[in-house]
Amino acid sequence: MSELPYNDSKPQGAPDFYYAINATFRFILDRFGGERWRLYLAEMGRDYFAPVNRQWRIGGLGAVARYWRAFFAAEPGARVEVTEHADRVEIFVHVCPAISHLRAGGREIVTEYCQHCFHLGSARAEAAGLTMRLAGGNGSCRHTYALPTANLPEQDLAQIEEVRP
Amino acid sequence: MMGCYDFCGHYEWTFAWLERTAGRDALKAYWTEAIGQDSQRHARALIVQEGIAGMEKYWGHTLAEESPQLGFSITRGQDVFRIDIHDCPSKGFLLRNGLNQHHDYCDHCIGWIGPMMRDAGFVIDHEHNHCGQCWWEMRPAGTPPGHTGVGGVSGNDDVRRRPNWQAAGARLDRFDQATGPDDKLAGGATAGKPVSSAPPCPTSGFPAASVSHGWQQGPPFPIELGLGGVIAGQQDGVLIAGGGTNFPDLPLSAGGGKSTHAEVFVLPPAGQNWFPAGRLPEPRAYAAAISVPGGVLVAGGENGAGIRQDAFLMSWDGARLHFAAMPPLPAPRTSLAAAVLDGMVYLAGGFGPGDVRQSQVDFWRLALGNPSTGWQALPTWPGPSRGQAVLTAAGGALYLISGLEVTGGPDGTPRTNYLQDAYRYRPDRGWTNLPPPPRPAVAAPTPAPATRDPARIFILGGVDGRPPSDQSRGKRVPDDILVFDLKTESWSIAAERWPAPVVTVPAVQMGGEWWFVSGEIRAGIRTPEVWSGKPELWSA
Repeated sequence: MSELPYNDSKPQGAPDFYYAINATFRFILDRFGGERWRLYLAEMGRDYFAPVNRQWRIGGLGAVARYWRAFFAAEPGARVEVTEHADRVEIFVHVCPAISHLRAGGREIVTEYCQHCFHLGSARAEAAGLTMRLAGGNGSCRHTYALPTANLPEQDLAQIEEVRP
Repeated sequence: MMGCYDFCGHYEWTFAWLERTAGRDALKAYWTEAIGQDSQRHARALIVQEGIAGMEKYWGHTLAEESPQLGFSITRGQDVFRIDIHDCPSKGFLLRNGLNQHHDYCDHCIGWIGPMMRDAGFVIDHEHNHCGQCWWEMRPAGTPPGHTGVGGVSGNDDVRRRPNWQAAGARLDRFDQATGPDDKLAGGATAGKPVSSAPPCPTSGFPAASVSHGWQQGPPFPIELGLGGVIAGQQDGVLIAGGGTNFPDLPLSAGGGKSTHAEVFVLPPAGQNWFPAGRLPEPRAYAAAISVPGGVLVAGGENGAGIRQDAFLMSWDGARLHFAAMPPLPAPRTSLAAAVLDGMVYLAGGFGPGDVRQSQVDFWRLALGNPSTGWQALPTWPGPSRGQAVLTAAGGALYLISGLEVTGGPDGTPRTNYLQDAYRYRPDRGWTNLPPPPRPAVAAPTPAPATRDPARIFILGGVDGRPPSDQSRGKRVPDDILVFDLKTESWSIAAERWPAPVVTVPAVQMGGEWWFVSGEIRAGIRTPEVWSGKPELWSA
């Protein structure tokens, strides 16, 4: 019934939690530096998200697409399109719910915010036998989860935009 | 992406990661600085500036957003602000999902609230039981110590009056005049003991779904008596259902009056509960309801004012319902069947207004890409008029199956005929007769579930016209599933039975699952049960 590994009793999350996610990134980046922040995300991707990674490994790209549709349906303010191809799933994030809410709340967003999707997503993809790439950022972007046979070019981190005020 | 929907899960994981990689002091600094001074700076500003009035403003908003079911109460007394959390939305999320990644998740609250209160000139009396219940009393610093007696501030809302306040698994952590997690009393029940060693907390979540051969029971519909003629569809995986009729005061058999509802509820993709979404523009039931891009198209139907002619698109934006007018039907109709094929909505039959609500032969089409052109009348099927028929799209064609023919007899009374027939409509070739189904299936769920490979249509239950005396009182709606094979053009009966047969219910497709919300189990009796099934598993 559910494509999400963890389920709440309400249809969508409380968007003010994006404040806490942004603040968590700022705390780890300021106190421990970028390398530890990337490690934090990679470990979370492998550990906390292990149930999702298993779903993806078993269910393949179809499971990836179903997960992201369900995921963004539960994120208030998201406007997202998920497209399935034979060797990849593309997630077009037209309106990032986090960036949108943080901006609306007048929060200073860490410039590296958009990179978290890559560091977290690539760790999850790797655990599922997939590859992940990210392009864009600063409020809208494209995530690609692909089979290894898709031979996606290496991620160019410069393709991930910094968040601007 | 880290989302806000499962925030409490990765928040707890972050506690464990920080403590493991950087130590307890780093975790406490995280709660104080990242959460208290950065994330929740709006709370800090309010409370430091306004004191208890600021607390009321902040928690009134935050807890309502996090916990729409209001599993908490707020009490404001003289020089005290008290919160009783009866069902903590945050800890509840962890308990429901079996997450136990950090040994003392509940400490995070006093971890960020404590230093904030200290800076605002307040101290905290507090207890939490690690099972989703806690209470807080904030008083100006310098207040004499000592916990208030049970009910002393919040009366019957005092969480300590709950029977499960100290249930198995509940282990009390206590704080007096505290301003941080290190102020936990040494004699606290959990001192020195990891919470994870405690027996599991009692949870009252949705019971494990019962599964049998491709059937799954979902969260019950929130209208306790259930509904007939409910309006249902899905949008982006969110199940939307509302309207419908029941007999709220007296059963039909006792002369009770039928009531038509307007409330609409949503069930999110991963949902364990239905949520109130809003109301239809007016009470309505037995309308054609079909999921289309952007929402649920609703056409016709009826209520106490009569049979409706209007149509609208009902959509859900995650927070509220929206209604957009669509072209009205060429004539008022109720109990008509709807299906979508190649970007077109098709409607078949239905009953019209009059002393005898006679069945109709109308076959209408609306182009979803250009709705302003209105409903186009198409050639009708080569058979009797009907309402409560089944219409579905499969293999590039439409299939019209069974239904109830109602005509006016010479004495003015209605004559009914349970139809046992089937037809196929191809937009480029028109109608074709098909072999009749094994029995009539009036008011079976429509559009009927279908599978692509093998190409089959499944007619669930439906009223077959047998007199009630021929059937068991508990099972007036047949529970067998009629299967039509598109390739061989033949009928069979599936080995699988329908565990909860109902009629006058739309079928809502979500991927490979088909959902059935509420419905009538026999004349005048509804059920709030909600079921989903996978037709690919029914034909074995």
